[in-house]
Amino acid sequence: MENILEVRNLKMYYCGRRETVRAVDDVSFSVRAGETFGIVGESGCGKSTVCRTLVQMQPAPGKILGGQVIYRGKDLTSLSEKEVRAYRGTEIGMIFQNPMTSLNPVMKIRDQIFESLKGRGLTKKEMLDQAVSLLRLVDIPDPEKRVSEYVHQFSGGMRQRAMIAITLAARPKLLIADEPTTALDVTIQNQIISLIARLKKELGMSVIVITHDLGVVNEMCSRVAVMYAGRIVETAATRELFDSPAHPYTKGLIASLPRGDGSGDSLKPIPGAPPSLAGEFPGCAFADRCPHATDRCRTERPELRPAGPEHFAACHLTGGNA
Amino acid sequence: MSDHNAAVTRPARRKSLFIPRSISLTCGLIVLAIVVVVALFPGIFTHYDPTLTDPMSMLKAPSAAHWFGTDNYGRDIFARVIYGTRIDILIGVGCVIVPFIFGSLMGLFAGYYGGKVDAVIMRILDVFMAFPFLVMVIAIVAILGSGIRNMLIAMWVVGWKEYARLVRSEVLVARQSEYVQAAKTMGYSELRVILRHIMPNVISSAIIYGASDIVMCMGTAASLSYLGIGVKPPTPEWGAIINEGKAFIQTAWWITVIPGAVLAFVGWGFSMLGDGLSDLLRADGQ
Amino acid sequence: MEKLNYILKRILQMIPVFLIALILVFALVHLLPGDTALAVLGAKAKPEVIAAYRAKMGLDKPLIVQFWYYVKSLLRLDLGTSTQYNMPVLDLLLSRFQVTALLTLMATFFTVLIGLPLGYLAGAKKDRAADQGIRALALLGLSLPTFWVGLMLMLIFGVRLRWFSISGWGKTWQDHFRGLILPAVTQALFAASVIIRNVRNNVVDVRSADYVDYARSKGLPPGRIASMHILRNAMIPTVTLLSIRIISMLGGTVVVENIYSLQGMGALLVGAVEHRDYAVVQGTVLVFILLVLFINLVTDIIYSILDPRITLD
Repeated sequence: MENILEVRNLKMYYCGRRETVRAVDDVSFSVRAGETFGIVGESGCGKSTVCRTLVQMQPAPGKILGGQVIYRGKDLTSLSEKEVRAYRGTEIGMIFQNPMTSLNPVMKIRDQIFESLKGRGLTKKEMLDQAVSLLRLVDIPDPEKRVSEYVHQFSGGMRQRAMIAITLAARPKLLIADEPTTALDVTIQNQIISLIARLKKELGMSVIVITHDLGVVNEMCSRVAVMYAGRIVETAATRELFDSPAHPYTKGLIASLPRGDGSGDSLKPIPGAPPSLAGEFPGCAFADRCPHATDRCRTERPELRPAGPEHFAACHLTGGNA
Repeated sequence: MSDHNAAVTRPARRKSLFIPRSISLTCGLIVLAIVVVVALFPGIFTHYDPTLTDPMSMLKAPSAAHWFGTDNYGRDIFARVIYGTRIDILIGVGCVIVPFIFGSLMGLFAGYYGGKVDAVIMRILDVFMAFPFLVMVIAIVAILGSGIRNMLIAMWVVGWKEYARLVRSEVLVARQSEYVQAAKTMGYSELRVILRHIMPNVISSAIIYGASDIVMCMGTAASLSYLGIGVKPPTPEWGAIINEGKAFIQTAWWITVIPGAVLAFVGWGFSMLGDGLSDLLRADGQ
Repeated sequence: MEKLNYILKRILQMIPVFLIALILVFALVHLLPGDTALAVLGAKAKPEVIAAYRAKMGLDKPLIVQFWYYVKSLLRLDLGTSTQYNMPVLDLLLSRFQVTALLTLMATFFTVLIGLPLGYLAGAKKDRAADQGIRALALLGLSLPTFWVGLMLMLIFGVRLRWFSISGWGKTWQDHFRGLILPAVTQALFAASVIIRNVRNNVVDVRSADYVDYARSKGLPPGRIASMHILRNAMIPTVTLLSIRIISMLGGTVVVENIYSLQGMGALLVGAVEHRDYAVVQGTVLVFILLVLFINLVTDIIYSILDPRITLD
């Protein structure tokens, strides 16, 4: 299958006057057409930032210092702000974590959908019809009425559906869902997950899901990348990752998942906290929290190496002996 | 969302905010110090008598002998401005201190007790809000007659409402907070809860407003004197000096321009002080 | 329909406020030391005039009855007679109203014209040179005493440069307009400084809002993001502040009309206070109160249009 997106050695640093923060450090991954790709990691690991950087939306004072973002054969990092804007929304659409704060509180849902429809030469009537059918597509009941309402009049799950509808109005080929279920009730989380899965199939999109929740990855993604401290430490097919995790951090993440088998002692948090991304650190960023760390881990940075079929891990201890 | 912000914004922000904050505060404190010294010891800055008329040197432009020139009675403007400092500052502070205390207490009671107390105080506020500030001051002066004392009373009657509104809204927030709930659970008396636990936490916004209010009150007092219903001549108050110079604005600009510039300078200092305090207290409060 | 209910409810809420304000205006005259009739009509008034006034206002009756008489005469649009001008207060007010209303409207226009763009610019360029400069200017604007600014603008642009007329109101609309520019700018400088600081801080807050990020991710052009997503939301808190400033500028006409020799209600009030023309003081204050209530009502309506989250409470 062809890749819709290929990220190669992407580096995005925050260049402050005092220090440099390596928010995205040498990140490579690819997303195949029609698949759902997961990026998983703790908050602050840079997973949202990577995806914003794809369309040059990294927060100030962030700068792309290297690497390429090849989207359908075009390197997005080489484009000007004006040129890359043509890709935002219409090619690569995003939905955010908190729909309450991510939708404009003073614009009707209708008008926020219209913004995505503009430039397609539709009449007002056609745009309204489109907006209503989009709300129907995302299972919002009574769409003719709700289309003229404001976000504060929607419930939590409906808000997320509305945001999905607004994003889909521009017909993106790649949808980036940034923690799409984190702000929602558990029962509604599953509805949104299956909605995204359904829409992906119906509209033939590719999807990147950003999450801290391995459960979401398990349900949605065919392949997944694990991020830690601004770098990808492991990438594999989802099944492979759960069955034979190669990086100690991934193992820790999986071990910290509550299991359904009722054994109370299986829930093991990873000790310690992620390192600061400011400044240089020569070795493996996970070394301080890793139970297997050696001197080599603290002085030499591990590169991504094969750890199985289409499976890569950045750890000195994998590749043969782990 | 929080994901990318958390790691990043902090180092960049600290730098850009800290320096302007201390600049405002420093400038404000310097102006305040100058003003206090001038108000306390006007005699060391000039040997002229601010009310002594001199027919030989009427309407003289600024010179080495008369730094700010003289007025139509030959009085030294510099001396009048220097001696006026005390009066203007006293008026400014005097206009603020009473509304500050009374308004803050009203806001405290309204916010803390809520219900009927709040409703009554808020309705009174509504009525006071229905009068434009200067119109109400002038209406009160109309009843009481002009002069410094009546002007002060008028400004007191009008000035407290902003403090009440500010403090009330802060109390509404503080009342729900854990430390107040804790103090209540401990069985402290209401007065103690209000004064010891709520007051210190809500008063900072009133203090910040007070600093800028001094500027506005000095301006208002000066404009009343300018209208001839505040401080009466020959008292050397800045607004009154400007009022007296108005008739000569085309020939002797210095009588109106310089005292006003001094008033602006002091006002600027207090505004800087207010801004600096605002950054400082808000940062510490969080 | 819901909007109309909201407006009606706001009007109903204003009625008690207006009644209490009316009592205060009534008390204005009745708190005066000595004989009310003498105080209102002046010591030179003829005995029969005083007797007629006593009878008309019911000065020998209890205060509550006197208040009722006062309200009744107000309902007949009888605001009394000016001792200073010797004409009905209503006619006097009608002839002065236009100047004050136009002056305040123009001052409001300048306030928005200066305050909104500069505030937006400062917020958009947070901590950069433009921001620092605009904030310094705004702080200066807050510090300058308005009456002195008025004198200085008159001295520079009226007397020295002769760009604007300082001879007051004039005869034609062009004269009115030219005569009002300097006083309106005088009023607007302080208010605009307040607005600049407020808009700037709101823009800084709104720019980091999630919905602005989301709008960018939709690929919207910067102009659209600035207007519909940033400014539209940043303006909401400013509306209330602006109405407070407009009311304050209404009061400021008292000073500014005096400086520029404009024959408006502000100058009328000061003159009436000086000449102890109490019927005029009462009438002027009453019109000012009505104007304030009107401004508050318009503000509420605008606010409810700008912010759909506003509810009836």
